[in-house]
Amino acid sequence: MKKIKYALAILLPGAALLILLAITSSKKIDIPKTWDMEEIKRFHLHPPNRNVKVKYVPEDIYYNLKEFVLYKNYPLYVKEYEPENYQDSLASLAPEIAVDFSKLVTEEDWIKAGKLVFNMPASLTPANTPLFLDSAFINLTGLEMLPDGEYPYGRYVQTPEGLMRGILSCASCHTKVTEDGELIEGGQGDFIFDRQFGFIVERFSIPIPPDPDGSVVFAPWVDYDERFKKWTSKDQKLALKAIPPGVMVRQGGGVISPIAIPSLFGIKDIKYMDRTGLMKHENIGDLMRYAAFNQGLDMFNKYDDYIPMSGFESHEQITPEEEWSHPFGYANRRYSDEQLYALAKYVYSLEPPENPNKFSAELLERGEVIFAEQGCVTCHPPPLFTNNKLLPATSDFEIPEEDKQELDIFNISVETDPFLAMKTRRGTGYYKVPSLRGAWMREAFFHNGNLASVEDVLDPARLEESYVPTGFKPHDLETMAVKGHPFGLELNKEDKSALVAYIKSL
Amino acid sequence: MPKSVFTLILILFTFAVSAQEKDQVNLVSSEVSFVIKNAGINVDGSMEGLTANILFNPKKPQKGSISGTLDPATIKTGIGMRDKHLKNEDYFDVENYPQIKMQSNSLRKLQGNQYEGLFTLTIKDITREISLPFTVTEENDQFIFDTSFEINRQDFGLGDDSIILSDMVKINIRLTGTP
Repeated sequence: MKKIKYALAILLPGAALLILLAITSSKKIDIPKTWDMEEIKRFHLHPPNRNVKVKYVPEDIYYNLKEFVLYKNYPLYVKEYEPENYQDSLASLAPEIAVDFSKLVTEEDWIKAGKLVFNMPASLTPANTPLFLDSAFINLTGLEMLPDGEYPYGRYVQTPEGLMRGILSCASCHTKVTEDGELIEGGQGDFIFDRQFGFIVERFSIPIPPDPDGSVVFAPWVDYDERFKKWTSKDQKLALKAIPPGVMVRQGGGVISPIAIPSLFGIKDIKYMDRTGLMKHENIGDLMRYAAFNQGLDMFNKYDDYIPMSGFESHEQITPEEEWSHPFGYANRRYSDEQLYALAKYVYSLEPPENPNKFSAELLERGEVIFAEQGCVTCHPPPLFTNNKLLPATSDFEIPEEDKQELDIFNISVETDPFLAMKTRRGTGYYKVPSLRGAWMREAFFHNGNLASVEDVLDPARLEESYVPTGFKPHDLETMAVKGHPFGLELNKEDKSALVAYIKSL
Repeated sequence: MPKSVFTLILILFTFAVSAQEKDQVNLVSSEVSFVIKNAGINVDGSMEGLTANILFNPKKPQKGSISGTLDPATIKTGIGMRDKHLKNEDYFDVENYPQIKMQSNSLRKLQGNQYEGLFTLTIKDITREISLPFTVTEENDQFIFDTSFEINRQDFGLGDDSIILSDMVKINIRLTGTP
């Protein structure tokens, strides 16, 4: 009898555990369909020119593309820091699929898998191709690396085709390396990809078309300023070299309107994505769609008769066999819905690092009062420090009636430079109100990243034409005014210090 | 019409006109300010462009009337961008509604120099009746009308729900006029 009791004592909890596991395993995760046309039409905003008709890649064509294969990947080092025989040791490994998505059960499983997707390079080149990544190049361009020489914006990937060097993962743009060498995944990225690219195309005389003619930026409905029409290929290279950390050239904006990279911390609460609020964020599927578009599919948006991707005139040309690529796009691949779901789960899970700034309670209290007095709190109310609304990019933009019904609009323009919102493919006619959370760790402010610090945002000198922007400054301008958002500019020194401290404490 | 009745009407009319002329208060100056809490902080603002037609006799307030208009495009809160926003259609929509209107329906004395009036207040296309207390002080041959009252901005379509901006706005009006 005693033995039976012992057996029961052992078996019953075990059985309970097995039943629990079975229940958990059988709980089907409802993964949203990424390329759902109805959802895409709901979440993607229209260009400011409402006469332009936009068509997206049809569902069947999208799902016919091959999926990225998530192979296990390995750190990439600056040449002098690479361990001896490192590449040979990697090349001797068998290619290994990093994640079996069918076996993911818990939230933690998905987040862990999502981290791998986040770091998965989408653009691969054989590892034996020439590498410019040495200390001299690092010093020349100002690229950051980790203390052990790791280059955190790329990875080695062992594939059936051999060892590859990969870049252009989510991490490439959304990874920050602090001055202390700390890696912050999800922070405002500081990978100066464009500057690096500019040096390379200049060194090797690689021909690239001048914007705005290039497919990266051209929008047929835009009447470009004369200034841009005069740009040559040389301008393009100089423009690339002018892009500072925290700012990136994106498809749709190009070098004529590079964009400040957002921090991903707390993005789950943010209702619009992109500086121009181009895509709504109402559910996890929207974040998945955002990633799919921004890894190159937006180059296939059809604007009336124009498809930005070079060589394509119709969506029917998009096949798994047809090669396509562009500076931000990749060889005819798409993420699987599982990969994107895991990625979104990971992005939602990101937690900001501890704020190293320490301010006195008295200073912060004063700063909070000024934050309210100056009206900052109206658009940047706690707890998100954004009202999650869209502002018309310019007072001249007449808000369409349907937008008043469908969008969350705060009907006042702060009159920052309207170019990105009005004259690019990323344009919607609006800018979203950015969150001020984590402003302390950013180095690019305003949508083009023209200002490098909170202090610069509050500097009245920036309104003058003689101002030299502390952040992104176009290569063909010696000085320029960084206009708009005229809040807190006239504060006295003490009050401004208090306001800066408060904002940097968020 | 018998001549005597006609004469009576004429006399009464003349008397009424002269009484009205006698009670007319000519506006000399005006101050309109308001206070609203935003994120726990009082935001002060003002408006100008007030016009008023005042008939008022402290001894016979019930015979009087006060009406006025105000120009919402003159709103000032200390932050130009905010003022611009307040003029938009979300708030005062000054393009379509260039005047705030106020008209008394009845006035009565409470005690001393304290009075109460029932007014219709029209902001944008919304008209509501409000009761407001006011005082009238005579100084240097001038009447000084002071009132302070609160309205709910959302009752008049001024902005939406907000977690930081209070619904209640305190309004202070001072009118100075000569009898």
